[in-house]
Amino acid sequence: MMKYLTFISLALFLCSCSAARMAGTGMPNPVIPEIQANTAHFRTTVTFGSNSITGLMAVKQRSDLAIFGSFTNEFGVKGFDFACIDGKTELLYIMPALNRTMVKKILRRDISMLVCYGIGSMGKISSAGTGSSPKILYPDPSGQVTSVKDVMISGATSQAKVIFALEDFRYKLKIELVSLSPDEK
Amino acid sequence: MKKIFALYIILTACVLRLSGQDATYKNLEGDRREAFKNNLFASSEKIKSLECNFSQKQTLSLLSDEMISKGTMTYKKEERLLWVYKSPYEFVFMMNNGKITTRSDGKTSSFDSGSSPLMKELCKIMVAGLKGDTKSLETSFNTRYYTDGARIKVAMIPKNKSLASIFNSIDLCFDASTMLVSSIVMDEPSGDKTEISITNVKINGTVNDEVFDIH
Repeated sequence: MMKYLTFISLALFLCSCSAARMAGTGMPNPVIPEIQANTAHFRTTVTFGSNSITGLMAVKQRSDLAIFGSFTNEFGVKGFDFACIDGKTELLYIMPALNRTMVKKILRRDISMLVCYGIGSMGKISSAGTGSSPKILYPDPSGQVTSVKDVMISGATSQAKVIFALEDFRYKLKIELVSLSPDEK
Repeated sequence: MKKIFALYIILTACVLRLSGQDATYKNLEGDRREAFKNNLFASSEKIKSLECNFSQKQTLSLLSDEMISKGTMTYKKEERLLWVYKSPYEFVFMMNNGKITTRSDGKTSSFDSGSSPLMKELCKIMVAGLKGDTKSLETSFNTRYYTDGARIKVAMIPKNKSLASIFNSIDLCFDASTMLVSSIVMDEPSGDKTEISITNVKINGTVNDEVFDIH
């Protein structure tokens, strides 16, 4: 009996640990039609404390549901490449100036959340209509998914553009994505 | 015989690929190279101002995607460069007396060029490329010169580690008759490639100082 109780406790403990991974669930990524047919391009601002980098982010979902993204500055110099496979995000390339263990760890987590809760909700935000007030996408308003603290993701629309903003209050990191309209592309 | 011919073709292809050059380009060496360098330097010395349009094509290897940006560039002696992206959205970059100013989405920020070695180096490459002053880049790059008759390509490989971690190579292409730059191609270690095509070049026109007055 004690053996079973120990086993159940251990199993529950492991389950609670995996919930903290959240975006890295090991489950296949959901289908995101907006980035499956074509690459989505976003005007991007990454702010770290008082420093910021601007540029373009391109995001695409492959037929195997893996999501790939690339961030470059306006001059074409790459900031980072990422891949989100089965909910787990890896940085495939990072520019030397950002290549620090802590920066990579924070970026990996926040990009994972931005893809999962932000870009994953593109259709929902687009259909909300232009000029609607920003919608909180994370923490889940229903209170079911709140395992990562100090992070807020919101989505809004403005002049046919979708705007996502991730704010990581703990590390003073902010990532803002503004989709490019078809004529801008 | 067929096997030897096939082997010859393969080896030739490998050699061309390793040297990174198109078959149409031939190595420019000795006196011809020195003559070109001197001509280019002499014409660069005469440039007091330069205005042009550019089209930037960036190839993203990871996504097999291309991103196109367009805009204008303005250069004025000494070392003032204004880079205005007009599409896909407006972005302004300016270097003026060691100070870098950017304007994006209506927000302007300024910083000392010394605090961003990458931007400083990029400005140096752009100014030297636009003017044709390849001699000034020889301290940071190993340069080789090639020609296909109509154009002269300067292939530059970074000498120092920090630049080499960002660029595999940078190619500057000049019109052999006008000595004006026509394209700048940057190859990155990530496999991405950025090609900037320069058009409508206007030399020594009137460029008012107010152009560089950005707030």
